[in-house]
Amino acid sequence: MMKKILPIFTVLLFTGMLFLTFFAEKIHENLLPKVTSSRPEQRSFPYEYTDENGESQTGSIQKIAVSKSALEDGVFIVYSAEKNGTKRSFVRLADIQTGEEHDGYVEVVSGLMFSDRIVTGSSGELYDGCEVCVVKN
Amino acid sequence: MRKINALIFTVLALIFVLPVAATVVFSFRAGGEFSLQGYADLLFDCFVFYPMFWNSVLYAAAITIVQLLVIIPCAFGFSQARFKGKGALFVFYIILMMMPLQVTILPNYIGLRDMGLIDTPWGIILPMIFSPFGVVVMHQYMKNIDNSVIEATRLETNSIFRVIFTSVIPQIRVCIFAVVLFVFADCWNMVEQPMLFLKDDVLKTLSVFITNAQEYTGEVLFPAAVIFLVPVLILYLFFNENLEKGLTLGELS
Repeated sequence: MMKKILPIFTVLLFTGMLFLTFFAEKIHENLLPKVTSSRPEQRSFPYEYTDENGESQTGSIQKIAVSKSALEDGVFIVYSAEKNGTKRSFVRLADIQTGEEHDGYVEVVSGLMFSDRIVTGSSGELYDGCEVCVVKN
Repeated sequence: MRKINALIFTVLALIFVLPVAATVVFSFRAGGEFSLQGYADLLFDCFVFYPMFWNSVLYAAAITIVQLLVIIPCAFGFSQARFKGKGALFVFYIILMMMPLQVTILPNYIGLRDMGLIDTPWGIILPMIFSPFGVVVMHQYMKNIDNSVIEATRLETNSIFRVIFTSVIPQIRVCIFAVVLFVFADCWNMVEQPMLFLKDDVLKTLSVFITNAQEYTGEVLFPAAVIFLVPVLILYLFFNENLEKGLTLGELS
């Protein structure tokens, strides 16, 4: 009985390991929330200034901004880190200080840089530090 | 007396089996409860495990095959050939066999470094292609083989390799299985050579993974240890009937 089971078990073991060698990473990625990311938007915010004649003028200035709805859900920044010997993508909740509000967008005073990549869409619920799979837009 | 012996050996067997049983049990526990989380963390969240597993299989299989190719003709030469210094050379082999690994590891490292083989698979395989243990065991076993078969084959051919292949190997099959088991287990379990001779994690073996398992997140140590046990256990189950015969028959001479 053992002589019959053993070769079958050996074949199954090595076939299973071979399958997992090629597909374990894909299976893992399928279980992760899928996110799309992009750089934060820059929006024009009005500001008032006094010209050389002493008259009050209104201009506009580009500032980093996030939409009000995104702010309510929380802004997540995508970053890369090594885990268990491989490079992976994670998200962290940005600690944003907000400023003016204009046209549905809120100015980001601190907590976000233009070089950061923020989550613009997600297939599942995110939490601070969770691993994600970044898909291209 | 027999009952006392049986009791002593049972207790000893339990002492040796207990750590293995504990490893298997702990591999199925996470947070104090029965769980497959450890296996999930290892198989689906720790991808460096796979190249290390296959490296262990590759190195152990390659070294075993190459060692057989080297030690069978070597043992045959010892048993059949007559030359000056044969006895002294055999004693030298026995001394080599008993020498601990730590004595030869530095000269090996220097030699491999000078040949540019550090951080390559050949740095692991080449130093292990010769085993004095295999030669000594096979030589002792070959003393009991039927020389008339060898003489008959010699009448048909001059080729030594043909003589070995057709008349010697079938007679020492049992010994070969026993040596394969020991050599494979020895290579599968080696830790020092991959740690010292290999720098790239992609080339390292499963034994190194287990040594460094604390670096990885998740409960991966015990599941990795269980998977580490399985191939050698399978090989043992394949060849266990030949193990005792292969090692002791040579001592009847």
